[in-house]
Amino acid sequence: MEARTSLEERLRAYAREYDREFPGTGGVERRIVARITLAPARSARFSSPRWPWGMAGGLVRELAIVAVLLLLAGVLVVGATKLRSLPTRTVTPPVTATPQISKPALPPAYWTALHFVSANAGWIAETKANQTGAGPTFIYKTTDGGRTWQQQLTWDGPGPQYARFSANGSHGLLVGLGGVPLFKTVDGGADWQRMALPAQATQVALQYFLNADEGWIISYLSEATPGIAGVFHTTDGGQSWTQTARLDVNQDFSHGLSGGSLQGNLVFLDSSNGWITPANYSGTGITPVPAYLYVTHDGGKTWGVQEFAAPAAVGMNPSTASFLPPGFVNDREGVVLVTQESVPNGPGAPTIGATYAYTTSDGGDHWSAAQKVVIPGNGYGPPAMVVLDARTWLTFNASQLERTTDGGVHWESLAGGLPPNTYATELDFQDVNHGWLAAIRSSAQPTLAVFQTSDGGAHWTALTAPPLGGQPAGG
Amino acid sequence: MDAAFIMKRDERQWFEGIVSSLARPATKFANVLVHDFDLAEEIVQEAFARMWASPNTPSAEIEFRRYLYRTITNLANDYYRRRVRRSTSEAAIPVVVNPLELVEARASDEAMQAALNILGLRERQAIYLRYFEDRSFAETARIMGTRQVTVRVMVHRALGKLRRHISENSLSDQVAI
Repeated sequence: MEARTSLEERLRAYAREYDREFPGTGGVERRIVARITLAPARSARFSSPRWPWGMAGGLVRELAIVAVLLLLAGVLVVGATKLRSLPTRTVTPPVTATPQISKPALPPAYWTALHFVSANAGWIAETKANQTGAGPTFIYKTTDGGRTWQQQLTWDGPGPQYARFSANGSHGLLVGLGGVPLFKTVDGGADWQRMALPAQATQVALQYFLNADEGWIISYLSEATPGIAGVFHTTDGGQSWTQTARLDVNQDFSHGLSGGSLQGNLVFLDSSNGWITPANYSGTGITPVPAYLYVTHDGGKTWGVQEFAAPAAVGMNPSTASFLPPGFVNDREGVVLVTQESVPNGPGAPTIGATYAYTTSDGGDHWSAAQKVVIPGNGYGPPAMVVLDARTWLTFNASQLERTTDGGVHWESLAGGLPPNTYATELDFQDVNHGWLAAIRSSAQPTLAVFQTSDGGAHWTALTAPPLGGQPAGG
Repeated sequence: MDAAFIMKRDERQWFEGIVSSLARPATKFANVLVHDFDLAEEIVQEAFARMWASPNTPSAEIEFRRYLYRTITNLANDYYRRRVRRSTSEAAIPVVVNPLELVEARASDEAMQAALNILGLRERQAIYLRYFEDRSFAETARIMGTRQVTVRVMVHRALGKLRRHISENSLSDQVAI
């Protein structure tokens, strides 16, 4: 029978592996922030400074307490003396409005995807919120610019991670987390076919879909040797898959680490060039190497490392660099944002540093030196970002929708036309001017809303939101 | 910009920072309790919403985390209670994909994975805090709202169960020749 210490070591090793392979939680973070943004400000008790005594020394604190007690005693003595001398009368205390603080209401549903292919035609995914597992998810299409919506598809489960449509809207692909479900249409959504993943891809770790036809999944394979992954490629929207590579994760994805991992994000610029952003780790067994991305130039068959020089006088390495996936605005220009984070070994909150941008003008073969950028919001990690061109980006990580036109140096708020207490959850821009925004709107019963802009987000016009899963419209 | 708005924004930014740093460990914790990634996300979201609304929510992060974990545990308990009530009257909701199963399947120590699944909710909670988050017995007890000695006994018994389960299953895998 296994000795206790050996069992404990085995348990800790299992825990490390569990942590390493645990999926990202960016989605739930955004939903939590969206939900609290809808709520009124918290009570006075919350509003008090969070470090009321943190800066005070023990002596100062004790003196202050004694002083307050003496003052209270004095007030009581004086008050009691005065009261005895006053004639008795009934006093009605003034009525003051007490803010009612209640739990932020759960929105009836969340937007989980939004994509327009023209001023008139677009799709939106709505996933019901509940506590019995996410979903079901409903897919709606509009052909009149958002005035009316037709439900096209529904499934039990979370919303799509990817919604890709061809320029004319005929070909479409909806892909859930881990490749499930995978729906394809070739007739603008009149009919949707459910596609299957390759049989060998039993544990999809990474996936990316370049358009409505081409995509990749990287999946662990059910083999006797653990840690072997296959790269699977489709060019017909998941109808057929080709395994293009067999990778040893511990060998190919362990740069600077003692063991390999496929945790991170996969993105492709075109059929050949792709990147994986590695998760950042702390702990022992980590070699101090420069911050890096994994890169492929042959459609995922082989992977190498692309290093990023740390900004001057900034100690950035794989343990402290948190990358957003590269964003490309055309086949040559792109940007990578990286935030400096320090994750403690064990429990505790990460310490967040500055964010830097690396830009490319040759399709990611070379990247510029790091340029420090300012990211609106709380500064706690990389926000959700829409890159419209090399210098124009939108972000909506908090309740603010903000835009920069100089590559992150200056930002302006784009609140014009959006009603107060509107929280954007999905953004889709066709070009720098024309975009759509799906949002949750605050009220006692939060509702869903859709907006459109034709001036780069400076002004927004409300569209009709589709009904809530067959129920009456929500906003 | 008026002072009230600045305060409101400042509070939200502080809370968003807490969400950013605790959402992942909280989801991992919830996952271990309910074995369903989507449900864990819903529970974590609900727990944060309650924390935001409650006037009793502590503002120091260490206390906040304890309070959050206890809220998550309560919600997980509610879920199991509801599930027991519902199981006699409703059909099971089909789950399309459960990323937790994928996570567990990727973990190569399948014997340990199977053994952890046999533990009760409280035992799983104690084992998670002690070994997945490296908490001391004192801190684990604080989070679980129980005495330190109770946690020590619970962990001891849970380790015994794990050891027995792993041992029995490794023996059952052997084939006599």
